[in-house]
Amino acid sequence: MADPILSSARLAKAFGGLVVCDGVELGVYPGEIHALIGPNGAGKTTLLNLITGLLTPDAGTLVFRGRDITNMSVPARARLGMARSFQVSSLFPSFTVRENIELAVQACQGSSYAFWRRPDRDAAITGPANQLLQRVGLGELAQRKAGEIGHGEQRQLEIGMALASRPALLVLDEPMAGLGPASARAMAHLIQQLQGNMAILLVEHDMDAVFALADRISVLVQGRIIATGKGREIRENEMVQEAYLGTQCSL
Amino acid sequence: MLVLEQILNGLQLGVMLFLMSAGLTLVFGIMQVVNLAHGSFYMIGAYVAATVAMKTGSFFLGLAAALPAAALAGMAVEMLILRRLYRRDHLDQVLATFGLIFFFNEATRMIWGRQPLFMDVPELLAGSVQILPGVQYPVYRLAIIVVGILVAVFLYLLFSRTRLGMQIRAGATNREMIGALGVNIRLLYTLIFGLGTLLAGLAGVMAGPILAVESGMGESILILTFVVIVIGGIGSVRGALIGAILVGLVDTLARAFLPDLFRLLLDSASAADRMGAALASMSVYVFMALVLALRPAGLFPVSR
Amino acid sequence: MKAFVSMRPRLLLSVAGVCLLVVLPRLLELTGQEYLLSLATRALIYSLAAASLNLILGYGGMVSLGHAAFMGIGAYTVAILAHHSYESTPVLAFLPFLQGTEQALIVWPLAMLLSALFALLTGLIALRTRGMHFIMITLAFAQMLFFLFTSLDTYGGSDGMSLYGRNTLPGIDLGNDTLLYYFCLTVLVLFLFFMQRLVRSRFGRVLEASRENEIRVQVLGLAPFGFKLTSYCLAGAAAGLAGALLANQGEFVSPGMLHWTRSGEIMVMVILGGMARLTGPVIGAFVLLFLEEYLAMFTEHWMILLGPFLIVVVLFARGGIHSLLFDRLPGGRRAQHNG
Repeated sequence: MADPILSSARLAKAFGGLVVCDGVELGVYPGEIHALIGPNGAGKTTLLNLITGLLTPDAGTLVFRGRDITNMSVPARARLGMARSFQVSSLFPSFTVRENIELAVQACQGSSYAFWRRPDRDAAITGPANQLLQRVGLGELAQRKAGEIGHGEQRQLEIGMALASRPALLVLDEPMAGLGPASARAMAHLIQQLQGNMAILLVEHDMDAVFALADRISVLVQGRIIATGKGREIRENEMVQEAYLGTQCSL
Repeated sequence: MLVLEQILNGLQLGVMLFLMSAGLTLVFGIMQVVNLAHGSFYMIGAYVAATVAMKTGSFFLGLAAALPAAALAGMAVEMLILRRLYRRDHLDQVLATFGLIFFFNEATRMIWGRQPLFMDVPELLAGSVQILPGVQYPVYRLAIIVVGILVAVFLYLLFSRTRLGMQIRAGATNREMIGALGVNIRLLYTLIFGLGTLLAGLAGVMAGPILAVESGMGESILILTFVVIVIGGIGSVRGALIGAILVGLVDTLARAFLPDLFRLLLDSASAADRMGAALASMSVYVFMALVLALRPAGLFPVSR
Repeated sequence: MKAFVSMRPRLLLSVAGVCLLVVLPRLLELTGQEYLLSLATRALIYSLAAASLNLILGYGGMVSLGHAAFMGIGAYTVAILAHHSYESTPVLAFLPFLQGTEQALIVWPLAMLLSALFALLTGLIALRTRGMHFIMITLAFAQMLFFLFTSLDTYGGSDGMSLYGRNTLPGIDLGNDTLLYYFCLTVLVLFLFFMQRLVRSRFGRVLEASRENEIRVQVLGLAPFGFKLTSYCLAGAAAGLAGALLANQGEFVSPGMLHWTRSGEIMVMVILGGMARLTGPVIGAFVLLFLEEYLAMFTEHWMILLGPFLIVVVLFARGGIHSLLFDRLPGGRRAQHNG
């Protein structure tokens, strides 16, 4: 198998006396959809924050595309090819949907220290922006302010912005959060279409989606990855059943 | 010894700054409100004390009147105006409290006129005392330092031994939680604010005999108070104490000795005086910049 | 096409405003109120200062309470260089070739440069903080300069210093009040035009985005710090120019120009006029200065009204006068504030 695009070794993080990540060993391979599941409070969001750089680990290392990114800043990681969507939509509410996407495109294209030309008249930005709007199905709402569109559309915009940089690794934090069944299916469809183009690290509670989409699954319990493997292996793993599936939900 | 005298002066300034900043840092840290009008309560304390002292001839009656006045004024402002600003962004708070400054400054000018008032040092504390062989120091200023120590001890006991203090400390780290535990947040906030303004008023009263009591007197000490809070760490009373002492010492010692130091270094006496005086007045801010360069959140930041 | 149509009412109003300002001196002459020309010129200069604050405050979200410091640096640059020019002494004893000068083409760029430098140095420290810290630190740095200038007795100390004349500009006699007015108007319009391009450029978008959601900007791959610092320096330079113009207009400088209450007044101008809109600060500056002038005629205690008025505006009317005028018109992006 090729080298992992993202790997962590002995990644640890504690807040005061509370140990949230306790030596996490994770590996994500190019082109795969890798799901991260675990009971609430297992440390999933903290782990994502460590991976994307919003938190610095107390110990351990992170390697992304062959580079040690353990102490790299958030923007530097993004420029290296990591993109993220948030569990609670993190957009620019007073910008229009189009402007949100344009900014995401702008961020990975040339210098933003340009004081004169307008990005909305620049084909290098508007072209890809339009494509992205179509891809996530927000073409109709392009002129609405991002803070005024519905929750489902905001989730779509989140994804759209993450895709703008054509990332090598896409980190999705509960993309289906708060979506109704139809929207969730549409979101799952969208994610599935991305498969193969990029590696995707997906945190999700919706078990149907997880087992349908993921190539491999890692289970995080109390700050440790207790199992990694394909869907069926995980389902049949006793430790996982006991720690998670047995108490939470049945499959 | 000149140095000892200046150190004591520095401590005395530090005490005043501590009184101003202790309450304010709590307001910043717990209620997350930028209150530019804090200096106004310092001024109210001074004015009330001066007026009562002039009428009755007693400094201590003035003090007794000023403290409740400052506390009540503070609580009134909190209930009428500040309360509505807790959820607003800082810009709104800056502007509204700015408006309060205008109002209070102008009100004092309307009531008391533009001429500064003067307060006499109380008989009891007049004169100097010999603290070391050959070194005299004004009793009044020593009294201020003593008051500062007492207030620090009082606050320490308040925070560590009483329920109210515990609630305040809890509120500093987790606002929502104490509400959930049934503490009356509104009342708590009003009391905290009142405590802060009471201390500011106390500082104003004590400053009365030393400085002139006039409209706008609060602003000059307010900026130094901000510097203390930034250095000490927002929300930390301990930081306010350490910061206040440091700022008091740095400012006093710099003003006292920098001009002389420059005279030693430079030939031209007038140039030395100029540079020395200029740098002395800037010393506190340079100190602040240094602290911030090393610790952007201050010396004792309160983590939420 | 839709954007142009929706923009038109606001554009028309702005053009009308400029026209009004162009004919104002004539109007004042006709109504026998020439004495108001100097007030109007000051209003133009403060409009420039307020507009520069609007860049970092309205668009960038940085609540800086030290903006008057930049004006002070610009003003004192003019004054110090003029003083040494008049006295024929070098500015710094150990640099004899650094003579004073009254030539605007040297002094004003220098004023802007020095203000920008101060912005850079203080910004490097202050912009690593935010919220309450940032407000208080900008305040402190401005006060530091206030004390510095107060202690410089050679240049007037706390009483300030008069200038013997205005700076010289080839071809334009700035000593003529009407010409100075039009010059300041030109500078203001040019700056507003520059600002308009700036806020709609790539840079401007990142600046506004950083105000709304800094983490998101970082996750997209951009570091907000550099954008904030750059805009802080630009605003500082513009305010420095305003300060230089102010020193020329009144032919007087004093440390009071740097007092934090001045910074507060400039901020009030921005708010009164509505933020994140280009012409708001101009409206705010004119309203505040003319209000001060007229209210002072009624009572010397007019300030007691300003305080509660400000409080009421803050508590109830967001967006300021500008939004009262322009909000009903479509188009434009409104500055959002988090609760």
